[in-house]
Amino acid sequence: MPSKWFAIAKAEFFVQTSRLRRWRKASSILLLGFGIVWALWIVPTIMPGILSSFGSGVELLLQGTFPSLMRSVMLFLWILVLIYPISYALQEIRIGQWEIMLSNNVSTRSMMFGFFLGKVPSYGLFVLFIAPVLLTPFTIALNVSLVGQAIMYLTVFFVALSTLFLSTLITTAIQAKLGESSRGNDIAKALSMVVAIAVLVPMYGLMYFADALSSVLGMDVFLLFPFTWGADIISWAIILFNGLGISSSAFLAILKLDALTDLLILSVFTGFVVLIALRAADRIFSFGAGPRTEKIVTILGENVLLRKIRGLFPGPFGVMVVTSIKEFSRKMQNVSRLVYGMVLAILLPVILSVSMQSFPENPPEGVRDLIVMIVSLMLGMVLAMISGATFGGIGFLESRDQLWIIKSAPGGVRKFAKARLVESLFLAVLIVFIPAIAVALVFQFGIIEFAAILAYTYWTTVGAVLISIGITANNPTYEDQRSAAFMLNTFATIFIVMIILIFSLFAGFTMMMTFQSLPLILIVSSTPMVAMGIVLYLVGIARMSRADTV
Amino acid sequence: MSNSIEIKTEKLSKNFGNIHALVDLDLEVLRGSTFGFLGPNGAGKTTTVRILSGLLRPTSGNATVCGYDIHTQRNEIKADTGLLPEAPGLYSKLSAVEFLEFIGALNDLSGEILHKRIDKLMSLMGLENRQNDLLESFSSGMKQKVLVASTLIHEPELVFLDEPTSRLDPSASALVKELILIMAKETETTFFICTHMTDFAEDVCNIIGILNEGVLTTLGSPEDIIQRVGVHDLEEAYLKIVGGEVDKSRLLSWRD
Repeated sequence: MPSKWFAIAKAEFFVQTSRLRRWRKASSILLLGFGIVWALWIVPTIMPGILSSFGSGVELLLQGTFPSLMRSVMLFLWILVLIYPISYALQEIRIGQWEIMLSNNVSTRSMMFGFFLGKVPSYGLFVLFIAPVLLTPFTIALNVSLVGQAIMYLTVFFVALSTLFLSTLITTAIQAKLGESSRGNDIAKALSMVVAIAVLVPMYGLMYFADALSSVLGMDVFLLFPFTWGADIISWAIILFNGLGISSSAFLAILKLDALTDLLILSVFTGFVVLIALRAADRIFSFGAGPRTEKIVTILGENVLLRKIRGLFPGPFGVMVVTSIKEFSRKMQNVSRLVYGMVLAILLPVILSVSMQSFPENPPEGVRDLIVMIVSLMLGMVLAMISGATFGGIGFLESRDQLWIIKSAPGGVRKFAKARLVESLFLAVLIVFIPAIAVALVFQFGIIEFAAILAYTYWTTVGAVLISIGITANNPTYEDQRSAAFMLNTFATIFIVMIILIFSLFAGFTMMMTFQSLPLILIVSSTPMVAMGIVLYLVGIARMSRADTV
Repeated sequence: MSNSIEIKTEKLSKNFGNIHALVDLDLEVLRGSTFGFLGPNGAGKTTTVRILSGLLRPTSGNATVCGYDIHTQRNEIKADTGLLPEAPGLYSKLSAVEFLEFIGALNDLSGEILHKRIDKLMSLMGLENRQNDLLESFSSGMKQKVLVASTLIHEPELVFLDEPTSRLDPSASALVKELILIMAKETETTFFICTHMTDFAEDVCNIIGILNEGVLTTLGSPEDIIQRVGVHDLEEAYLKIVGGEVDKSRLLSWRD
């Protein structure tokens, strides 16, 4: 008789690979086989060429600073394996499944272990593919022997497994705390966006500030973090098994602990996490709020803005706009997504500003216009994509049953979509205004430049919202962020927005050479998107209004 | 109940690929009547309601609802009908009042008249103390009551109710039953009710249609059907007609 944890792990694996269910076994073996070939042959074969194309400087950098660089690499991997499973799992609260398991006399320890084990194949494959890309530059630059490489890979897998277990523990605890309720689901989805911001920091750090990040991670305080212990074990493996005769003496300032101590701490930490999980399993799985025990939110009254909007649009349309604003803005997942977009929109120009520190105080004529343009485009692209995906994507319709209700009213879809659009355009003002002010302050732009950025970003966002509503109305996804339709719509929205922006940008550049006018280029590069958006919106709403055929 | 016809269908059919969800439905429902549409899961009841309320195109056949053609006058049909869908599609982040305000606005209602109706319906449903709470915290029965209110808020001439009492407790179910009876009697509102609950249908409906695998097999008053089949109540008649009688000898065979 198979163990209960094995049955749970198997079910988890089946759920994750449900899209491949017809070829599950074949595709798993194929992927594993390709992963091994990828790690042992493909990456080691092509990496020397890639490294030599960067010149000898990169190899020297790797040889001279590998302990701190390795900490950056492991931080990146650690956050991916820790945060991504949490973010993914929070998109769906699964208390109902827990109830079934618990009612079948499955121990909470078996559940915890089964959930963890079920994730191992997919994340194991992920590590199998990503680890060679991250480690091979070091093994080549430092001529690490096969034994050394084996230790490096084993360490990465061990760190990944222990991190995956930690993330399973955290996810389970959060899910249990939130409970299976509409409110809990909303908070969970909002949290999944918030934790995604944590991935951005090391990612941007590696992309733009590798040097600075490495020196920061070289500080003693990072000896408290598990990724540091793993990274340091790998660094010690490099020192012990490199073919260049590099000794430890040059790196003792960073590698404060020896390899065995690092290994011991990492093992103790992992054992401690497992122990906590097993001891606290019963407490973790005693879930909190359900649909009838959760906090009840009572609506007290309308704020000034909503009353003004009612005054602006008297009659049924005003009621629908106000209702749409309330419904959209009360969902934490919508708010967190927009905040995520704003953080991203502000972060990119700030990075640009930091990387332009050496810029002269009074730049030549035309350069300032170029900066305004680049900042506008950065802001416009990020906000257009996030607003499009949020207002038009997940924030458009909650469920298919809701669509039946809307369609059962005369002209219901047209009225509903119009109200949703006006709601989006109201809220987009706020979403655009805050990042525009932030970049104006960072770059010390004047009022005209600020107005140009604001106008361009808003107009682009309007276009993206129209495009996204049009696409979603053609192929409704509701709030299911895991559906194929959602992926397709998101991809289509981003693709169309990017393509139109790039083409109109070229048109704008061509005109700028002739007309030398910044407002003109901004108008040219944003208006086609609005025009395309209006077409897609009208087509989408017409199709959505039709009586269904299936 | 008057003699004017509220719903008339002629050879109405709907196919989903190879599946025949509805086959040549010929039906007449009089204004002010309460029509009960019975049938097992997947018999085609919801498909029929969706076609008649203008949400789904039929594969073939014709129908008029409230005097309007289902092919060309869907908006007119929607204006005169109300639909309580099978599954509740409520907005979790709106209060009951806000949701009813939204539905009213979809049906071109606003202002004092809308708010008076909302207040009265909330009070009738016994939800006045919870009317400003977000719907996410409502039980399924309370949500169903809000949906019933939303179906009636624009005073439709014809109401489609798809499983109206499936999530309600006995007292709420009795309330809905009485509401249907009084509306049909006093305001000549026509009700087209899809249900599995034979006792509910027997109490409320003056005409029953039994649909099995897309085909309307039986039509008549509850008493008439019971008499024709030669049984004691509508449940027994239903089981005889659709073939749902239980073979008691097989009930424990799965343990072998």
